[in-house]
Amino acid sequence: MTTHIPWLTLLIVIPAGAAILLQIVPRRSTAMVKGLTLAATAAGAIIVGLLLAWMPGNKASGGPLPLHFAETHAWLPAINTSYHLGIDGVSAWLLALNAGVFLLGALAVSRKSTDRLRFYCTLLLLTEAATTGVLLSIDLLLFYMFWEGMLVPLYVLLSNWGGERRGPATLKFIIYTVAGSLLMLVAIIYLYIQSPAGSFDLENILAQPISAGAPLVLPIIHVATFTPKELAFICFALAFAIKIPIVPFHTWLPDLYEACPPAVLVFFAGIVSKLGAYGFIRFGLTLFPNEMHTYRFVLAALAVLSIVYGALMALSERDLKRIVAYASISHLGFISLGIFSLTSNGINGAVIQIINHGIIISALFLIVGFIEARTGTRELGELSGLERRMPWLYFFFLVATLAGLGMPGMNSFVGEFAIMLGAFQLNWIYAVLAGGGVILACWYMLRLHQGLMHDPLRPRAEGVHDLHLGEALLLVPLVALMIFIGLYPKPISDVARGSVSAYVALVQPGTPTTGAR
Amino acid sequence: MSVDTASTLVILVLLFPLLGAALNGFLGAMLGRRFVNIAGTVSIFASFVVACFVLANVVGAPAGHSAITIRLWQWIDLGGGTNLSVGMDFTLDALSALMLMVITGVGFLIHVYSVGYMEHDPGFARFFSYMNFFIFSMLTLVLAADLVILIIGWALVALSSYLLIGFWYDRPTAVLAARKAFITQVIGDIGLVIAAFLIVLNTHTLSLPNIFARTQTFPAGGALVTGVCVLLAIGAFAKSAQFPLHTWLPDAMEGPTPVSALIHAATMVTAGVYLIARFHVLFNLAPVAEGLVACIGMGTAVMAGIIALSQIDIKRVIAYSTMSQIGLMIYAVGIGAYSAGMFHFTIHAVFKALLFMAAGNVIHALHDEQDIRLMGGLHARMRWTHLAFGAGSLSLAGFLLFSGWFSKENLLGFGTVSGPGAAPWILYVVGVGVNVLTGLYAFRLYFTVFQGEPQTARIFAVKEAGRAMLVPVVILAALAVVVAWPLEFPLPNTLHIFSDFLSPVFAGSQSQLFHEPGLGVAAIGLVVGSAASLIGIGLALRLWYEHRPDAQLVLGRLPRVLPLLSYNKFYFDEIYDRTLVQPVKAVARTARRVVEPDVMDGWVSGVGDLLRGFSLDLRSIQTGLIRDYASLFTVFAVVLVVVWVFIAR
Amino acid sequence: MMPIAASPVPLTFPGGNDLVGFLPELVLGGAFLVLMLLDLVVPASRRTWLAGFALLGVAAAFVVTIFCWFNANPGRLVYSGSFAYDRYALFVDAILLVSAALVLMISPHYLNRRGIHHGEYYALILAATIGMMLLAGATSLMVIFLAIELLSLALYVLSGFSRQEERSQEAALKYLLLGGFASGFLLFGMALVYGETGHTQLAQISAAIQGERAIDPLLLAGVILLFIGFAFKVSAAPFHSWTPDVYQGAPTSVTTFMSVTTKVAAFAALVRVFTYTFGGGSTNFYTTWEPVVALVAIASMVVGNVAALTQTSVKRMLAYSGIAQAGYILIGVAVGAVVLPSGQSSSLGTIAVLYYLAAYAVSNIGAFAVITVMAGRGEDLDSYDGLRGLAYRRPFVAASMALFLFSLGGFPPTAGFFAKFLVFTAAINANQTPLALWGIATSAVAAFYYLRVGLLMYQRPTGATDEYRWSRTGIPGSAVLVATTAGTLVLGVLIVLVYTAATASLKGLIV
Repeated sequence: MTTHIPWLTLLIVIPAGAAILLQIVPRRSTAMVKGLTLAATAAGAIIVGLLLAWMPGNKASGGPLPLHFAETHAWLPAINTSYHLGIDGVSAWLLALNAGVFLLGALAVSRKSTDRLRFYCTLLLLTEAATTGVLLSIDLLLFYMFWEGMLVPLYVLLSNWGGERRGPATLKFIIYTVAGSLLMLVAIIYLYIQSPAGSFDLENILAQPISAGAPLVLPIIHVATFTPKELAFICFALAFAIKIPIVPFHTWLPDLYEACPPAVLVFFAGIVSKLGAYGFIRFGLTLFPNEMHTYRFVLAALAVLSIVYGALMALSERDLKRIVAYASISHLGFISLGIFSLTSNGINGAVIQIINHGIIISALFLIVGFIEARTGTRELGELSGLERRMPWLYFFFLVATLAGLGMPGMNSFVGEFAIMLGAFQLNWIYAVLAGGGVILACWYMLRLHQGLMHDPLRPRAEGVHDLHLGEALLLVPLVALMIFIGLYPKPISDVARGSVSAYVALVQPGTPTTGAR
Repeated sequence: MSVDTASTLVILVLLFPLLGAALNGFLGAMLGRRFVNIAGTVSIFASFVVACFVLANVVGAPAGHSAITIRLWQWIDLGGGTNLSVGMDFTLDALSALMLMVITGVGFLIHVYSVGYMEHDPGFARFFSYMNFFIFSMLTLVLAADLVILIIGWALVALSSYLLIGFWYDRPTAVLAARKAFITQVIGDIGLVIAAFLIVLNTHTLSLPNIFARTQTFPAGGALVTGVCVLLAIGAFAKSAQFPLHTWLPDAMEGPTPVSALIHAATMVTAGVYLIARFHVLFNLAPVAEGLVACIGMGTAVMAGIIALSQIDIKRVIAYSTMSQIGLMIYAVGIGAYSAGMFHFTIHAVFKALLFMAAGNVIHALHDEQDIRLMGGLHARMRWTHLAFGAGSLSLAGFLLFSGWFSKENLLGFGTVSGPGAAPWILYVVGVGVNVLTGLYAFRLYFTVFQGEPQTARIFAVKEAGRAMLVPVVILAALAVVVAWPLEFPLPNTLHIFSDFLSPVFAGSQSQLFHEPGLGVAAIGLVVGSAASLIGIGLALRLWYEHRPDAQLVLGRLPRVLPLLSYNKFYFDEIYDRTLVQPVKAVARTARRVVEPDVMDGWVSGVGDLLRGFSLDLRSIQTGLIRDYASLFTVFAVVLVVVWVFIAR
Repeated sequence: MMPIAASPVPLTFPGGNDLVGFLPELVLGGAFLVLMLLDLVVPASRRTWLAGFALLGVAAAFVVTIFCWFNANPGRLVYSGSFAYDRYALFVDAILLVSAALVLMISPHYLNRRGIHHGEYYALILAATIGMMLLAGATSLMVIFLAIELLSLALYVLSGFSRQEERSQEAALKYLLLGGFASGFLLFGMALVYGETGHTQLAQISAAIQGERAIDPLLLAGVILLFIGFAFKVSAAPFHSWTPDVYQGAPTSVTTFMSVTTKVAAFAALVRVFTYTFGGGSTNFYTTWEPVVALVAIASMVVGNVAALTQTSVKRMLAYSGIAQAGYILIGVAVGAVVLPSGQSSSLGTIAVLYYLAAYAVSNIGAFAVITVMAGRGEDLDSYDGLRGLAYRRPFVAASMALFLFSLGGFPPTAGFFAKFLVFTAAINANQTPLALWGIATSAVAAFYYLRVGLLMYQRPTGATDEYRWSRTGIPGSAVLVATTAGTLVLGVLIVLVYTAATASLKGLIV
């Protein structure tokens, strides 16, 4: 029964449709607006859950990367682009994360009623539709449509809700991203024209490999530089690196996160920044295996740079949100490192870590939001001793902190262990440096957590009250997941493993595929 | 024993403390003090009972079948081979059984003690929750049969230690101490993790039994196995407060005294000894690493002993003595005398817990006064505590026929012959020196606190501790005297129940450094060692009880630098602060003040400014005057035509 | 593709055939005449009726155009080879008529508020439209020139339509003088081409060029001068300097009209003349002028986008954006004629041009329509401050404006994205990747100023005092906004519709 229903299309249509439907709901009746939003996001989550359950039973399409629940319809035959959706073990989990964070985002908004609620929900749903599309698209052009289209609702969202300096921050983010993705667009067109299949469809392109072409020669000095394919790869890599972001393309992130309201951050930090990593896996590894292999050391070095640099910044920042933002950069560095290690361990770890980071960062931003809402400040120096006033928040925060610093027994340990193992296989030095990053992570997370929770209570925090039930209910599932994944990460890797080994086989021919086991 | 029994026992022994932690943590505050006290102690007692069953099973098991490994669930599976594949595996054998006994047994007594110690503290529920959680973590650590699981336990104990050190979170010193301890532990964890990488990439497994079964992948004495062992040792050093990762332990005394007794004396800090003993198969293949471990152990023992001589905080003195004793254990496992090391660990757990709890009584009685210069003459007012402390000190100093004597002499005995060349003899002599030191600082403490004249009026108002705090102390005191008698006698071919019990674990392979001393050598060693401790005690008597002027004179003759170094703990904190902490902070500050705005963001805004400038130039051309427009138009048109028609072609 | 060789026909009286081929223009012309008469009888208070009637005329012309679309297959030359009755022209006509209709809908309300509601306005709009439609179909240099003059004259008057306003008058004068200036270049170019080839009809010119062995410098000079003339009309840099001033000075509704339609018509002619007359064929004549077009394209993209960065007037910003857009379209023109290694010339470039024109029409009219209908009493809605906080008073208008800006910026899922996408694809396909890269770089810059305006609309109104007093949208205004919004989205997602139409119209193109 799973075959006849276009489940993947539904995943896109449900939020989009709900967004349109919202427009006829009277603006005043907030209950209906919230209800519809929640229903739509929940429905998406349920479908993703079903898909995850059915995937083992579902027969994968042939070809270099096995796809499940694939749907293909002609879109613009004239230029051979099609509406082609499909998921594999990797994207399935990202979809789950996606559905989860948006459900959380919907819950978060229905907690505190945002002004102009209907507009907010509309944009939230549109964003979900876009990110879902990014994760589902197999056709490069379609992928680009969603990838870039995602910015439209996000832009309106960020420019509407947020702190004082949201305008410049949003512009910086958009321009930065657009610059990257436009380069990717050129690369996509190039691939389309070069590919013997003359198609935008990833599967068709992979079916007949694209020749790298002769290295371009600089006009005057006559030095052979990159091959056209390498340049195309660089364009892709830039687009993804900016989205992740990898240092030194990260400066949009702290400003944006600082200006961004927590409710938005839950899904913005939760999924959007992961899409870059996803892009590297889905398109980097498949379209550019040789290039990835050639530049793996450079890329890994950048990843390590992000780990350490982000950690150092988090160590010296004073604004809570910015600390978390830089922590996030550091964590994303781990994810990137795992991918660039081009090993089964590393990439599996990256997938797990993508999920974990989505959970952890959402929790941290919610907590920071609660604290700011109560005390009216985000200055680390102005707060301390909150544990006395809010023991429950302390507990949740503690778990989130430990997860954030890669505490063994917590979810992120699983990912970081596998990632560092992959990095170690690439070259031990990366693992050692990443280890240094872990120590720094421990340092800045404790600085954040202890600084807020411990030491004598400041007068400023005298009156604060602990979480109310609704707020706690937002955190409970996240914290539970942090612990559960830490104890039993197998389900994630079991779904992802097969696809990952397929990717690894593309990048490093000769490595035995472990998907069969 | 059957797999099912083993699984049941493992699950139960872990479950009880965890349950206690959860109950106390989530409901304790609601359900009140009485409930918490019961839940906190009973949970540990229950797992002590289970531990006894485990012991019985291990002892009762037929020869060669005493070890059993069980898998609760598959943790992760990335395909096996060099790809990660880890099971939630636990093992029951003599070693883990011993650890279980010590942890739950001593742990239980300390929990009982805590009921009294924390009775006035509002955070009691949190306290017991953390304590129970620690027991759970420690048990996970010692039961783990997979390196990853072991690392998890390894980190969980560090976490509970962190939580308990910072228990009084409104004391900035406590908060900092906790952070310091945790970060140091993480450094050790990284050591373990990277060791794990080397292991899995070479043996294609992380399960301990399999690792030890596949040692053929490690050429004996090779760089690889040496590296692995050194990395493991780093983990051990961080955990066991050995040089150079030792500075966190004294600060850890910021925690409540029961915590110091349980975590920072009896159990957690000795995990390093356990780790090396557990990995003896690998260490036996790496003599270099073993030598390093032995030297560091002995070095730490001396250093800590010297520092202990001049500290004035009662708990810190005991902390340094712990550091010193663990140094001896590390030394023992370094030279391959594993059961000797474990034996001293067991005995030490008893008398060191005892010392801490007795000290806790004193501190409690003096209302959190820890400066020994303000004590003195307490023997009259706190009889039981005084007796217990005395017994503990004698045991610690290795006084004849006290438990400490058995374990320490036994330990040093092996030093007499281990290893090639003169190195072992040097180490041995140093070890004897440590014996003297031990006697010195142990009784400096005892005399200054309990003998002599009361230094403050407060002393006269002191009362003996309550029952909850006294009973465990007395029990431990009794143990500190007699526990070793039936277990082990420090001469070969005599009484060796303890080492026979552990022998199946360590039977597999032998360290090249290890030699069983002959009876004669052992006897000499025994005499020398005992004499050394007696000398130490005697000197202490002269110096701090009789206050003999000539002795004071001798003390005065010492080079000035010695007491300075001792008092300032060899300046390690200052050195680390200057060479590690401050530089990192400086780099971070520069990153935020300079790199981020000017470099990382600089090139972005640079492009922006460039374009803005260009844009303004273009606007300035837009004069709005028709003649300008027309002339511009013409110029461009002509240029275009001319260039193209007459030059380009 | 090979042009249909049309033998020189002796001058004859136009037959029925010719009239049919001319039908849309005729209908509109009729409407124009009637309108002039109606203006005399309709009372001043009822001028809106004129708008209605003009709209009727346009609608009728549109219906006729649709009919012709099915009739004109295959197309043919009429009026002794000086005018093409083909789908290409009709496709362009359709765009023009729709644009004109939209403008007519928003005009009355605006003119009333500005107090410049005069009857001839509508007549002039129609006249200009006729000229543009002529231009779209013109296949003879003479007709091209006539058409251009016809539409220009109408526009000169229109841009000066706000008589009491100095800026408007100045704009008209500038436009008139510079326009005449440019026409000089155009005419000179035509003269040279005629002198070299001895023909005024594109078909023969093309044939003559095919015959030529070596490329004659004078012919080339003529071609380039001709191009410069067009470049002025499409306001491509560096021949753009009039655009910002005129766009800003002219009444907004007029700006709306000319900013779109002029470009559409001029580009239609440009493609017909350059890509298909001077284009492909055996002797790759295009290689001689293609670099010039490319150069101008790059110049327009850079100048337009960069200059727009620091504008503070919406109309000027849109003017510069229009210059930039012209640059992107010129890429299509430049690569349209390129002969691929495979042998046949790439039609993709021209398809891109047509698609771009359609997309540009809806988005740009939309954007201008917003500031037209929102214009308060008395003065135009021009300065950026006028848009501040719009989203809080008129959420839907602001949302649609944002959409138009996104479309102009080339974000999916809007029409603008596919327009740019096709252009870049065509460029890379024609092995002109550098052109595409220039386009990319400038688009990234463009995103900045489009979104900056967007941000303004979403800034909280600081106080009621400094807030612009927007007029009510009104039914026709809303209708226009809805239509353009829908168009922007439909062209963005269901690209296949317009794409196939464009392809078909291209197949039918004759010179």
